Amino acid sequence: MKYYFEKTLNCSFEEAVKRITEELKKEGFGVLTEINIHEKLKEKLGVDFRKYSILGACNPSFAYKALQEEDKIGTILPCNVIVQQISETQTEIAAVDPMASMQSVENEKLAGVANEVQQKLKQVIINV
Amino acid sequence: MKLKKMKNLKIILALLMILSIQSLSAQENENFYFSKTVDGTFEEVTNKTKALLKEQGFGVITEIDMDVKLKEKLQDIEMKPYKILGICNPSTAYKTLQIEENIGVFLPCKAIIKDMGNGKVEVVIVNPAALMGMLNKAELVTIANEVSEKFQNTLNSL
Repeated sequence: MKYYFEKTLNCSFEEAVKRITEELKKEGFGVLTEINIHEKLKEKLGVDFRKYSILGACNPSFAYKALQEEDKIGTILPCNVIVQQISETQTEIAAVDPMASMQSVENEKLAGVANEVQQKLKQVIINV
Repeated sequence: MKLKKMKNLKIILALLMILSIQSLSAQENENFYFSKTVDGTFEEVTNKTKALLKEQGFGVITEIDMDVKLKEKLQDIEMKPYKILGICNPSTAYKTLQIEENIGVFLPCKAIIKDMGNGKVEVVIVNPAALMGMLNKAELVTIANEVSEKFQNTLNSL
């Protein structure tokens, strides 16, 4: 099953990170964590990997609501948005589909929040 | 002779089918986390969990104090200490990224440290097999099962 929403942007990797961060903010998501996978892999394994960032995005109201419904939901928080370099002028962006990750949780009370977050993240990908 | 071989083949195929159906249903019923509640202070348990994860080959690459973040952004909420650790084994992450390039939307794996009050702290670690089962890629399920075992070892030693 498909577990993300994606889009290819005609811009550099750095520009894409900036644009997605701004769009997330407009929909109420702050970026709480940022992992540069290519740097980590270089540092730990000495391998070359394309530029690849994992942004941990969180909307506080939704996160709080989800935590009240399911106290162990933190194991799949924050929602990730990944940015991958395709070429100097093309970058792919993908946001997790929260409905997909919530499926493994099997708590029906979460469906409402997951659905709202899904709509917001979809909007971010459309607008970016 | 040929007929006997065919019959054997049929039996083997039937057995394989039964086995695969069983493993599929096992995945569906799997819980999405492993957890253990221990005595101690929040700080002690956090440090011990980090040390045990390190022994199993996992470094902590992100750390979010959810209670602090949420209290900062939302007014009038009550929340006990709740920490989300992003944990990662570089070789495993590299292997999975080569199999499934967008797997980063689920990385790193998360461990939670939750203050339960009265000197009790709960440690919860995601069960990667529950998420990876969804992707229908046998290689990923194998890796996820190996990682799950290490997470269970971590909690058993806690």
